[in-house]
Amino acid sequence: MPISKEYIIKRLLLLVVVVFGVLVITFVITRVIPAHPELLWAGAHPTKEQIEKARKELRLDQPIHVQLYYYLLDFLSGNWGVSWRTRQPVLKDIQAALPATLELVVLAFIIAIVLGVPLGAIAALKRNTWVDHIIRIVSVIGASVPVFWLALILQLVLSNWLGILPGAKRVDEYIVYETGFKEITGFILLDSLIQGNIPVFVNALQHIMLPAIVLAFYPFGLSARMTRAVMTEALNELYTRSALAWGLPRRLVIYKYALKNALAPVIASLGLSFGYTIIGAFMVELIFVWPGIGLYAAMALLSYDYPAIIGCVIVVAIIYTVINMIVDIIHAIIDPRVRL
Amino acid sequence: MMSVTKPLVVENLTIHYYTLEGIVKAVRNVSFSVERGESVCLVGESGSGKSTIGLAIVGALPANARIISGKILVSGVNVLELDQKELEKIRGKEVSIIFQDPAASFNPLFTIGQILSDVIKHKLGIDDKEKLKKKALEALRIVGLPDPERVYNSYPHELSGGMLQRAAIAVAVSTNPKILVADEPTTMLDVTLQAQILDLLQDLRKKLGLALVFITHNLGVAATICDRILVIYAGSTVEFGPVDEVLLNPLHPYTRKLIECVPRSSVRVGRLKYIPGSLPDLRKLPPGCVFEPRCEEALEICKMKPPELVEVKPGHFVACHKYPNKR
Amino acid sequence: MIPEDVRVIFRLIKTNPVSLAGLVIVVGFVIVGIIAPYIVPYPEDAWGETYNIEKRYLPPSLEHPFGTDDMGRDVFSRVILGARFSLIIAIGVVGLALLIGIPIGLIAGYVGGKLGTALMRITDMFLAFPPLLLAIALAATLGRGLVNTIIALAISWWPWYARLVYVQVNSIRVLPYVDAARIVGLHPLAIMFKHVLPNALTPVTVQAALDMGSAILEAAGLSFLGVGVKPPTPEWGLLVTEGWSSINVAWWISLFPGLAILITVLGFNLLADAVREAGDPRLRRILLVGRKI
Repeated sequence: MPISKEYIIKRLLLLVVVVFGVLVITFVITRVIPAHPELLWAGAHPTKEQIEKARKELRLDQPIHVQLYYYLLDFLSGNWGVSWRTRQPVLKDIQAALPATLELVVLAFIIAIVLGVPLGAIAALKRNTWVDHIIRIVSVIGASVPVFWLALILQLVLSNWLGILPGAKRVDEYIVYETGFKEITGFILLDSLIQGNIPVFVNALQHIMLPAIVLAFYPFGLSARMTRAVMTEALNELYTRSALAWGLPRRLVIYKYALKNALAPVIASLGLSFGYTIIGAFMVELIFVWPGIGLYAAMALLSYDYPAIIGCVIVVAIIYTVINMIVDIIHAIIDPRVRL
Repeated sequence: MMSVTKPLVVENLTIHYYTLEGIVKAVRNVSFSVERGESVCLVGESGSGKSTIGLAIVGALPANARIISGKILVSGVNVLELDQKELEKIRGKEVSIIFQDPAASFNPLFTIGQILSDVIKHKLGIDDKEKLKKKALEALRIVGLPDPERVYNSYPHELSGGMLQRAAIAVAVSTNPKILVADEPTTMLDVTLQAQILDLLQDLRKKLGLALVFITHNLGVAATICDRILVIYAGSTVEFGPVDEVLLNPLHPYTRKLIECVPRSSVRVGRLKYIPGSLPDLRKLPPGCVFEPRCEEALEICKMKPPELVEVKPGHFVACHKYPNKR
Repeated sequence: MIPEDVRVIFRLIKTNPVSLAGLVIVVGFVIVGIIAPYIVPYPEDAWGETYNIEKRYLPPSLEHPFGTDDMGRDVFSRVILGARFSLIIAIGVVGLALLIGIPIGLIAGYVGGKLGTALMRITDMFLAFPPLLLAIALAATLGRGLVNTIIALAISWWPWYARLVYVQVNSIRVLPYVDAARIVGLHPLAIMFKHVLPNALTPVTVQAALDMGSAILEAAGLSFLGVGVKPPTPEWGLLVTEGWSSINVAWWISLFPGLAILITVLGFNLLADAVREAGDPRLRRILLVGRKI
């Protein structure tokens, strides 16, 4: 089970390299490709002075490698530009919005795995029965449904028409005000539990349910399909048949052995799917008015707030890489053959 | 002799595989028995059905196999009629198996020790962690592994083929089964390892009184380890008898050809001998003897109906029209 | 994919009702996409050229099965025409991505050496980026429009295909029969085109055909975020977005285009599942058997 320090150091180095690559790519996209980069950075209806100011800030008169140097320097020192929609530094905006998104995404993934893996396992065990067919169809639907549409429809039906769950915002302000809730980590569910503030916890839970369920559809479908596929394969491998032939109980062979074989690829694919899920979070936040990175980025997109857009892209790319690194490490813990 | 039930009796076993390309009639009407401490070899080409028989004995057939008829009596109990729970009890305790590919026999995500401990724990009912590990290490020692502790803590991909096969044997015999099925255990190993594993199996057979069903395509190996040999071709028994008898006085043309094909170091040959032709399509069998297309001694009747198994000499059976049933 | 494989796959699809449904949907989608302009009941509505103030927000009825939208246009017509745009996007994105990715993967795999490694490093850099994100950033930079959307998506997609081709070429290049061809004296280019290419390209083209569903889904997402196609293009994602503001009173404007996306992508995914299962030789032998383990 233990993995070497060298492995972790290797992964961290890779992380640095990838982040560097991300910054270079965004540099190319924002400075090299556009004909007039200063127009994009100067805002919606820039005056001549604003354009000139943008030109100076972007150092567009300097050679490309100098621009790149200052670009990297800026980002590493925290100068991510100013969002001209909120008039705040982009990094500050992002820091404020990040916890909300993380809370939502983490909960969505938990729902997806807790529902998806067992269902996938059941489908693998009852292959080609009607149970299997239903689970397959449901999980493929999860992978085929447009997230924004699903959000709209569910919000309409469950929140507006039936009133079962709230359809906007993270929590009702009056409860926060009445119970004297204080933000610690930015994760409302966690903070309320820490403070023993049950009303806020329940209220926040109600608010997060709908967006989390919508967001969970895609990773749920993915987990179920992957688990089913990999478990079917594992159950037919020689090592499963030999374990059974050596007399090990069926339950053990399935739930301790085969399931572990399935876990590694499922986690790996979930890590890769994170890219789609975060875009899904963008859409969900926009529709449910969830104050996270997604909402911030979506508003930035709609108002062509270029600095904010790029800031979000970089943050998401970094998170994506970190998530994949964590996934790789977990994979190496589970599968001893992977360790380099 | 009458009050002791034979460890293994196979009676008229017929198994078909259902595939996308048709129904493969892999095993047809095979019968044999194994006494305590005896070893019987199933010898045949690839695809002859010998592995299928081995898998059937431990109930490890793939999902698309169907038992069409016959019995497999393990200590007198027909395992083909048992349900999952009863089958689970028998596996490992009465009968166990080792496979051709030792590396694929172990789940790559678990150490040898974990798998071995689980088997001992569930089959012998030992719960105590200390005792479990002791028994496991003991099993690894019995099979001749020089560093049992290291193997115990290793993952399959960290061990060589020879060590893995020994480990597999350790798992199989750790639960004191009465029957051990060995499905081509030496085919993937080089010659020196082969000899070692065969010696190990012989040793264990004597020590534990195992009834050994040894499956192989290699006559030389069979000659070393068998008491009795069953030659199987395209799913049906072709010849059966004590190993010396069959190899010195082969009756069936196929057996004779097989023996001829074994390269002899003492004789220099220009070309290696082989049997022309190939196995028939097991989905579409000819009406007559299944070996007839490749047989040099075929008679007219061979094309028309399959031969019966006849006891030509005491204990020596053959299925060939050249030895018709004199009854 | 040799002909025998194709036969087996078709037989499998026929026997499995779920896969059959997928095939029917995909074929139906392609047909509708091709003939859409000719079968649309209200052509000017579909292309977005009309504004009928009296017919705004009409609920579904016989004349307007999917109702009318905020500009009085027949939603059914717009959804039907939307199939054509989705088809164009699907083929465009996948085709362009193949056009870029296949040569890169081929060269990297066949030539190998420093050039190959360099090409693959660049590809990996692209792959490290979360997929849609790159497309969004590109789309935001290029601006809205059908062509820009296709370009943005294709650029974010080609690395997957390049990598697929690279891996295939690499594994085929070392196969004995390629060596045999070389020893016999076949010209290296001939080897590449006759032997390596067909086998290397098959998995990637199959993958691409089935990826068309994802292309439609992603394009719809881009439209929702405002960086996809421009109005009044009746692209399904844009149609859903246009119905957003009035969803409480006119749910049909958003519902039906989204349903169209769901069903079409579902069809592609079901088909993809079937092909994947059929293509795997190990899974094949247990496919006909219904029993559980």
